[in-house]
Amino acid sequence: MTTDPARRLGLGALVHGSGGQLDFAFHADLARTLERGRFDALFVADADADAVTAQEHEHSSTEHFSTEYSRTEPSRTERFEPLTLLAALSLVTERIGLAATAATTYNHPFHIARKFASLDHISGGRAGWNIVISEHELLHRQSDEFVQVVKALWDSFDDDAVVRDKESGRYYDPAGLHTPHHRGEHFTVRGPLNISRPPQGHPVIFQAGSSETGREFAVRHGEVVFVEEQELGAAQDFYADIKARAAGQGRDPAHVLVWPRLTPYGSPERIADHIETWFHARAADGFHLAFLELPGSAEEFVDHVVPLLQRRGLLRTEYEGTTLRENLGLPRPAVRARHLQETGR
Amino acid sequence: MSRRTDRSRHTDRSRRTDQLHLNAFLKPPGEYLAAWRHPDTAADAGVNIREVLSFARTAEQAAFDAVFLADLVGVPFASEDVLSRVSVVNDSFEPTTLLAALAARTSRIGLIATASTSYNEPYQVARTFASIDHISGGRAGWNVVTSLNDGEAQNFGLDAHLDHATRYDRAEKFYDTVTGLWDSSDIAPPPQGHPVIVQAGASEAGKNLASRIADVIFSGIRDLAKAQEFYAEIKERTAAHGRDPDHLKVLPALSVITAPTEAEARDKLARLTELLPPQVALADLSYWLGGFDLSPYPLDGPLPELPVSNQSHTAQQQIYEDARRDNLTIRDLVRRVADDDRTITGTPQQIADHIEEWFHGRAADGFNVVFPYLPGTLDDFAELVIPELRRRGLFRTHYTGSTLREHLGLPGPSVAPGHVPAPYKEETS
Repeated sequence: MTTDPARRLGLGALVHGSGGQLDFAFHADLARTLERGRFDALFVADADADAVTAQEHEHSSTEHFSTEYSRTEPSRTERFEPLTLLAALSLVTERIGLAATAATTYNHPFHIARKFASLDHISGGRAGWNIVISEHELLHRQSDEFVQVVKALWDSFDDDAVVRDKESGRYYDPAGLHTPHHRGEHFTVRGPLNISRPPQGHPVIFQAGSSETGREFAVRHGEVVFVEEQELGAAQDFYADIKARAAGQGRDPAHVLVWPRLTPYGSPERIADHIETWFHARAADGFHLAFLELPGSAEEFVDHVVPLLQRRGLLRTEYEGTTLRENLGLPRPAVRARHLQETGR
Repeated sequence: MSRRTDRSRHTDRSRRTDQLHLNAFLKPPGEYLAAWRHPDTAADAGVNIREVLSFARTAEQAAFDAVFLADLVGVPFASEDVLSRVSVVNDSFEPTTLLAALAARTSRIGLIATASTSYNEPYQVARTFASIDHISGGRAGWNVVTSLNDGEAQNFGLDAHLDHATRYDRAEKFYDTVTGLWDSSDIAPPPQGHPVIVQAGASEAGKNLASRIADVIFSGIRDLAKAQEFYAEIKERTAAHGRDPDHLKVLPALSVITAPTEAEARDKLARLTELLPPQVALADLSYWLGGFDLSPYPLDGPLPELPVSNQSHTAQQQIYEDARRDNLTIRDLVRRVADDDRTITGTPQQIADHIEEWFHGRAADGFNVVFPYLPGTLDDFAELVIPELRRRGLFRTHYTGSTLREHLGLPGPSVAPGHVPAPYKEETS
């Protein structure tokens, strides 16, 4: 088995998947437990996004996406709004990443850009966006345009443009402002964003790529790609495919991480063995965990599995950095200035 | 004060027996456009969570009813030079995200944020404020605005800004959808039943909306007699909707700079206003007139007749009235903006006198207190004015309730004590 010392195991945990818990103290305690366990990030799901995914599975055979959506599904709103919960959690945690699922179907790119940028500022660079898209949007290139607009908004200000010079009275250097002036097939968004560049440059982008077009999208935009494969061979194939596609698109494969889903059960040794095997067999760069029962299973994992992983040299004992990117070992994107014609401002 | 017999109890001049309600209007690093340049402010306060949290805690320690956050979903149009010299419109947290963070580290103070009905979807707004209400143990409030400028519209693919009437139509329907969602059996009921509803429009449509739906109405009126007129009218309209007029609190804006002596207070104001470049003051005047470019007009000439603003009707009207009444040139108006003439500068006793006159004069149920620069003017208000108000029996010494509805003396749902989760108890400060 070849070992790459530069590779590091990533861990994410899905919270709020069990539904029905609108207790902030519960979530705060859980977040702190996961942070104690040195998880890279926790993920808050979104009922809307789940519905999009559910409808996807329903219609995937015919590749026909229905845009009909009922607002009265029971228990769909028995959940916190994800970004709201994460903003609150950012003040009761210090290092753990905070990722929200947000569907492109039910949101506007300006709101997405602004809210995730705000979360990134509030949390000191720990925000992540799990992008859920629909097959329909993908086929009509709407998802690509959506993400393009969001990134252009995050790049409105150069990192060093906001000088805040009290003496001269210059808050920002106009030369460092890049108003997007986006006019595309699906969106018209002038910009700029009314918040300075996020500490991470861009919040980290997570994506689940399943279909053929989905995988291409994931490799174009995703920095951590989720996979559902439960069998080692299939997972290795997926892993190899994602890395090859990344290289094909001119991206460094080491910067497109693959995280299979894992529901940990059994003895701590058994779980640690599974993780270690998959990691070294290049079937996983990390895992996104769906616990059977919260907070119990999470506490057991942190108390019993994490020490094993740490002892085996797989998992960090301390966070490497202050931002989610640093902990994931991902580079910070530079501003890609899109100098479109600026008439006036 | 002389007693008079009046038709309506809302023009009653007898002394009130209730107490003031005070909001802390936070616009870090301050309402004054040049606040970020002040030596005692953190220039990055708009995106500095530690700073904003400290402001919220100061307000909570002083037992303000709530903190209040404004919003703009886009940058207003102005020259590159002007825009590069201001902070808030360029670089601020999204307010509901900020509010949720403040909820985690405060325990009693109300939390009110602005969300526009013009560019949001009702479902998103309903969920967000319900979530904040849950996280905070029943302290959330939603300021319903219909948005102000073209800069915002262009971020959502709306080339022409919605006209005034359309915006209010949409706001009415939006509100009904949001409250329908809060009431539906599909959503876990927010601790307050409905988060507190705040509204600010003073136009005909705005007053209609507020008297039907609002728990709190803001206003920008600075003249006592006009404020009394507005107060009486709003209370009557509220009653006409079959509501108890005491359940709609009228809170005019009040911008304050205070210090132990008048001279010190004026000095604080001067040290602030000397920081504002004239072109920024002119652009600010322009903005309140509806975004019309004033540069073609001579500074020492009168204010020209401009088209009716599609933004704030009332602010534009007020400026025209001031100009006509006092024969003001454009230069005069710019100077008033630069000198921050909206701010009351004085000793704590003078400030308290003003507040008391408005409160007992039934021009206000309290105030939305505006802070020209932070934390200085907030600290001064909390340390100097609030104790004076308490000495006069006008303001609470401590919270007696735990929800924003309770602070405001508003009815709420009868929620059994066990159903309202206590706010998260932080372990470290």
